[in-house]
Amino acid sequence: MGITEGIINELKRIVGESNIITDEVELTVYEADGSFVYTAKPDVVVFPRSTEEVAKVVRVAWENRIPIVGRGSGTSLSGGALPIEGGIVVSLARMNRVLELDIENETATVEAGVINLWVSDALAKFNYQYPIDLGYYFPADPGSQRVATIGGNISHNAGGVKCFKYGVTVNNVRGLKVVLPNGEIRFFGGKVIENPGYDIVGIISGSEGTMAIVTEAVLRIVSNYESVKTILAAFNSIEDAGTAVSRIISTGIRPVALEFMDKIAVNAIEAGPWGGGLPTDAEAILLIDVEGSEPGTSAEANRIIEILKSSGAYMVKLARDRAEANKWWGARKQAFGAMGFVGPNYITGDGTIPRKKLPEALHRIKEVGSKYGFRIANVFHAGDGNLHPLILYDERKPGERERALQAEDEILRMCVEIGGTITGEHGVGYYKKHLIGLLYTDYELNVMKNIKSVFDPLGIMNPGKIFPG
Amino acid sequence: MTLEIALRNIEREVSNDSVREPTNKYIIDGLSPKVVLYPRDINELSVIMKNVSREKLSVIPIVNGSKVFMGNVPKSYDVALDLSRVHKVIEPDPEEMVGTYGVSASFNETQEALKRVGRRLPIDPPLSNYSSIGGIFSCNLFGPLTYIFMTTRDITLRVRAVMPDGTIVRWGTGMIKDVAGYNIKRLFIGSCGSLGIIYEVMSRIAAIPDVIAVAKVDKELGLLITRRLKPYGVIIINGTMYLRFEGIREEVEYRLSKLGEVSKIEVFYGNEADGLWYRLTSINEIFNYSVVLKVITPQAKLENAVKELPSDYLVKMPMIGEAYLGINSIDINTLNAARERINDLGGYLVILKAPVDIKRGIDVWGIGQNIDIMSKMKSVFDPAGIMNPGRFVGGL
Repeated sequence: MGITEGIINELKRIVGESNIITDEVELTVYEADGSFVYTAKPDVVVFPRSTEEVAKVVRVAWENRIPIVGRGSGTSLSGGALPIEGGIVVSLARMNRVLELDIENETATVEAGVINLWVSDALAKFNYQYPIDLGYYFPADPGSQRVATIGGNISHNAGGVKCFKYGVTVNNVRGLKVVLPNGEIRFFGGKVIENPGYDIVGIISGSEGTMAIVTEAVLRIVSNYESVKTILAAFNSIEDAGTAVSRIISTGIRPVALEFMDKIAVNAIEAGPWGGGLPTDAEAILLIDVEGSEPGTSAEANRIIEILKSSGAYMVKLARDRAEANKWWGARKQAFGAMGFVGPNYITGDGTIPRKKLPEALHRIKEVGSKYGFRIANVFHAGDGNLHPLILYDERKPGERERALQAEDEILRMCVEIGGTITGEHGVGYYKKHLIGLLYTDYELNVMKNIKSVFDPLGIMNPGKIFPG
Repeated sequence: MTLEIALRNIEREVSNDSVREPTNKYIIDGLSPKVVLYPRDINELSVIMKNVSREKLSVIPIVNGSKVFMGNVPKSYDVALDLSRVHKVIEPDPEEMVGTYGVSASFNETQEALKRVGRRLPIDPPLSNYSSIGGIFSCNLFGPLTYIFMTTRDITLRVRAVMPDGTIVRWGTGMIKDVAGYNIKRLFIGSCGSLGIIYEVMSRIAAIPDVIAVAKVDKELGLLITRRLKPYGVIIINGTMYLRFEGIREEVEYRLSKLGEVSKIEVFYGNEADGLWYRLTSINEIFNYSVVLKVITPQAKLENAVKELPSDYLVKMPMIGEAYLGINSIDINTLNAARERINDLGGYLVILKAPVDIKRGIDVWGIGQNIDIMSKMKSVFDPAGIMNPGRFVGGL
């Protein structure tokens, strides 16, 4: 059933006249996500302000068999937020309150539209108010944390630079309030570390909005340490950087973050206003954080510096202070955006590979770049094997976007071939659904589809995603 | 009759010794299975499941049998599926910091194999020294180290399993970061054999640190002070508190010096400390009591939750908000009242072990919500309801 004027009026009654968009021009804002590769326009966008309003909107969709697509800030890089079959986009942007910071129980309860970084910002206000703690933050920190919402992070099970130590989003979610496709409100999990029964929080996290709309989340927060040390190392060879990563991890040191960038990525960042003084002549750089006590981090940093030097780093630098470290990290977190300085458009790849296969993977990515005539920058979460090849192309040239997508396709197939996966943190979404058959059999995919049907028997939740066909 | 048909078909395809008579090892809540099936490998396991599911026979998987007291009283019990020889392989990959283990491998064997390459499985579950990998991962068991290394479910990267219909499947790719498709492996870990048979898991591992120290403290420290000391794990057994520290020497010495400022301490180092820690966290003694309760609460509510409960043996893990209570006897009314109070605190009271007459009158898991969704999820994997019937939450 299409969206009739009567349905629009009903939605207006639920969310109010000022919280709905039906104008064709205004709807274009919601036809793309962060990848800007494909577009799909919704019929209507609503901006509910409470879980109850979300539930009423979803109920209307259920009764009229209308597709529902949840949306946060729209930073998805897999086409996850695209309303492929039209329908109602439910923007959570106005459900943006931090509801509770429970320091005693190390949780934060937030609405789904809260920007990721706001959680840590809110927690920072409490820092040092308790004489016996060092303040808290939310450790799941995707590169988009300044704009991406918690709801979007949960839907895609987003990663970030601190995953090696603190895990991905699902490892940092304790509870979820959701609206099921029939409009029912449910709460799963709680503030506890485990819940008897099947892990419903875990199955909804990363389901890309295909089961339910998350409206609130109980997040795990973690305590700061007395000291954080940041180390920057530059290498003349990618292999040496890869070796250094393995050797550091082998020592038993658990870096909070261990990031790799290649020459094209570093040069793109340093060409723009977010340059952090990173060495532009290096073939590869590593950026490493360790945390602990002051004597502990000093000793760990010294050990890491020795390893880096003996692994072939030609430059190793310990940040003088947090300001310098923040400058380096600020530059790293702008890596994707900085691609705009070296190419009009880019596709962000997101494969994960066994760490020891990094040199092989980068070599083969280079070959793919040569084959298609594209420059490809590489940003790599070295601790966890998550590789982001950034394929630079120019969509003004006919056929170039399609060729860039083919290049990405080849890279992702290569990731699977060497023992990895097609997506580490951006989701399958729309773009990669034709590749999921590389990882799972039809039987296994059918089990997943049947799990979706438990939640969404009518198939109205973010249709056209994850599964081919 | 259906059992005979299934056995006839199974015996045609499996080795001679894979069908056995029940012994005491397989008695659960006073019930004995009709037959024990003892697959030699994954193919035999698959054949067995295909045939028992075709005949809708109820199956309870068992490896070492160290936790058979967990769960509700079975609704039926045709087949004990003994997995103790099906897959014992342990394959560490020290460079990738992952390990792959067969379901039959014991926890101790796994730790030994990892130790040979300077690695370890960073979990410290109850009964670890008696447990198999299958038992620990299928029940999502863990201990105090979870505060730093996350839960057993969290560190699992891949599960290989045999579905109730005999199909061999794989959930997860083994990458630390992998969001392709639904996270089914998280459903299997902690499902206590109610969805299918896990035969192999791959998980994250950790390096053996430079220094391990366990400090015995002469008093119980409060939660906030304890947290500020940044231990890797904390366990309190009948009032005696132990804190574990790890890392580079300077880090551990700093933490111990801070602990020394607030309490008198006795410190153990290295292998002695690690051995002590696993003896403590295995909490074997508590399972000698006729009733064992597990309390799960938000961390700061734990003291409040356990203070009114009777206990003859009390183990608290304050950093993760969990406690285990060993009790000689308790009645259902006391249990129900305690459960209600703990639910109000945002927690759960799970009856890990109890006499059958108590278990018959109560759901041991103690969750009342979302059973409808969980029931439908189970049906996706196990439409005939043959896997561990009745023993999981809400009698699933």
